[in-house]
Amino acid sequence: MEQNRTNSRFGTLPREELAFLCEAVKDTPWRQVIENMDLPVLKQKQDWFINPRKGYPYRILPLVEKRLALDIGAGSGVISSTIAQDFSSVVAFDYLPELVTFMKKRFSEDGLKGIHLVRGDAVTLPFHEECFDLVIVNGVLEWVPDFVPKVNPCKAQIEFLTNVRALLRRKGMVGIAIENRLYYRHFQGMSPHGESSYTVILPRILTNLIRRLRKESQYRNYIYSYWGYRHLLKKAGYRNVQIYLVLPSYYDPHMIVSTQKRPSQAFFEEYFRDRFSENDETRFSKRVTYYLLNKMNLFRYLEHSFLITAEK
Amino acid sequence: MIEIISHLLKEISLLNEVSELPFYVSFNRNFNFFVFGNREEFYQVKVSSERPLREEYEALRIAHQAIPGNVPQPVGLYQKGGIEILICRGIRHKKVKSLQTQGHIIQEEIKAILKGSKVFFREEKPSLPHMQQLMTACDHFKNHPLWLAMRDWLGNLDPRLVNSLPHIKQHGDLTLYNMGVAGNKLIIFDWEDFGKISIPGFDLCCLAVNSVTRFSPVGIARVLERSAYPKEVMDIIACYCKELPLDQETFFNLYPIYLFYFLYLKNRYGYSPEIIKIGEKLLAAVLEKPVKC
Repeated sequence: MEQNRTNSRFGTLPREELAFLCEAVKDTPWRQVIENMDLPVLKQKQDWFINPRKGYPYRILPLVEKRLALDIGAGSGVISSTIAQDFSSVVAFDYLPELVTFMKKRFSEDGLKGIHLVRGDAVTLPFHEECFDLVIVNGVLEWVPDFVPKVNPCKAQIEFLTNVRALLRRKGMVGIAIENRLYYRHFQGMSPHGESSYTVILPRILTNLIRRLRKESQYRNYIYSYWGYRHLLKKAGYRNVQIYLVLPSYYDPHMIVSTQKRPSQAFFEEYFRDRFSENDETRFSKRVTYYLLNKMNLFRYLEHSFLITAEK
Repeated sequence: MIEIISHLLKEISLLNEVSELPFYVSFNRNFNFFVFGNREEFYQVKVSSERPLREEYEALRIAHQAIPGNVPQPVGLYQKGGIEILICRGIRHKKVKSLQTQGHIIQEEIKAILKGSKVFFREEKPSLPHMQQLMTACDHFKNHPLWLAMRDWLGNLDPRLVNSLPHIKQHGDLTLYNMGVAGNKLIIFDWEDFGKISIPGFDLCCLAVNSVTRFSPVGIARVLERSAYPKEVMDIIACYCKELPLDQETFFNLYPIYLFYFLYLKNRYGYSPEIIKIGEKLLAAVLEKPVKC
C-alpha cells in the first residue's frame, strides 16, 4: 500500500524535487526558493505554491460560523494561507512529510499562527467528529482510491466523503474542487491526469477492459459528471448539494458561476458574445451551435471543473 | 460572503426569496459578484475585505451625476459582517475590443466624455500644484530603479508648463478593458481610482497607449511610434487637446508624466505584478527618448 501511495501523482511535485525544496527552505525564505529554484517541475508549478486565488472559492461560501477549517491535501499550503484570514483556526493536513515540512516553514515565515499542521492520510483522517465548520477537498477526491487499492474506487470515495461528513459541525460544509468528467475537451482526447485519451469518458468497465488488454493497471482516479457528483454526495449523506462552475479551472480560478439557469446563461451569453465579436470570422454554424447549447443551458455540464458544496 | 450578499439584497428588496443566490463572481482585486435579481435586472456587487470601497462609491456617485448615461448607477454602500459591499445596477453591454471596430459611436462618446470631464470633474481648489503632486508621488518610488531617471527628466522640465494645466479629476484606469457598449452608449466601469490623478490628458494617454500597445511586451515598442497610432486615436487626441487647450506636441511630450502616474497607481494600489511590469517597461521606453514626431 505504501508503494501505491508514493507512486501516486497526488504530490504534484516529484519526491526528489520536494526533497531539494525542503533542503533549500531551511536557510532561505520560501518565496525566494519557489521563485528562483531551478527544478524542472517546480518551474512549471510555481503557481501551485503562490497563487492565492486558489483559495478564493472557499472564501465566498455561505458558512454559518468560521471557527475551524480543515484543508485536506493542503499541499503547498496556499489555500490554508488564503482562508486563514477568515477562520479563527485552520488545520492543514497532508500525507507527504516533505510538504508538511515546507508548510511549517511557510506558515512560520508568514506569521500565520492560526494554521496547525497535521500529517496523515485521507483514509484515516485523525480528527474528532463534529469539529470543523468547513472541510476543503481541493483536487483530492480523485486520488482517494489510491490509498485503498483493494476497494472499489467509487466506494472508497463515498466512504471518504462519509468520514469527512462526520468531521463537520452541525451546518458545517464540505467544499470540493474537482474536474468534470464531461468536460468537452475530454471528448477531443484530452485527459485530466495524464491517462490515455478517452479513459475518463468511456464507461468504467470498458476502460478497465482496454487497460487490462494493454496490461495497464486498473483505472482508479474516478471523476464524475454534474449528476455523478450529486449522486456521490447524496450517497455519502450530505444535503443541500450545490454545484458551481469554476472557470477556467480550479487550478487557477478566475470565476465561479452558479449552475442555475439565469446566471449561467447570462454568463455564457456574454462570454461568447465577446469571443465572437463583430469582426470575428467564426463560422456561422459554430455561432448557432453555441447559441443553441446555451439556450438549452448545457454549458454548465461541459466546463472543466466544479466547485461542489454540501451541508452535513 | 454569499449569505451576507443574499440577506442584504433581500433586505433592500432587490431580490425575492430564493433558496440559492443566482450569481457569478469574478476574482479581481475585489470579489465582483453579478447577481440576478427580480425580473430582468442584475446587480454588480463588489465585496472587499481588505480595500475600502468608500472612495469608489463616492466616485461612482459623482460620475453618475455628471454623466448618467455612461456610468453604472450606484445603489449603495453597506457594511455587513465585517465586509464592505458596494452595489450598482448592472448594464448589459458588449466589451470594447478596439477603438476602430465599433464604428463612430465610441469615438464620439469618448470625445464627449473627455470634453464633459473638463467641466464636471474640474477641481476649483486643488490641494497642491501639479509639480508638487508629482514630486510627492516620486517620493513613493525612492528605491525604484526608474526613480533617478524620472527625477532627471523632471529636472529638465519647465514647471510652469505643468503647473499652468487645469486640475481635472481623472478616471484613473481608462482602458478598453474598463469600457463597454450598451446600445449606442459607451459605459465606463471601475471607478476605484477616480480622482487620484488630476493632470489632464492622463486618461487619454492611458487609453491611447492601451489601444496602441495592448499592454503586450511586443506592443510596448509602439508607444514611441506616432505612426502606429490609428487615425481614430489621433482624432480623439486632437479633439481633446483642442478642447483643453493643449498643444498636441506638448501632450505627447508629457508622456513620461502620464506613464509615471500610471505606474504609480498600479504600484501603490495593489495591482497585479504583470501590469506593474508593463508600467515599468512603458515608462522606461518613454524616458529613454520622447515620442517620435
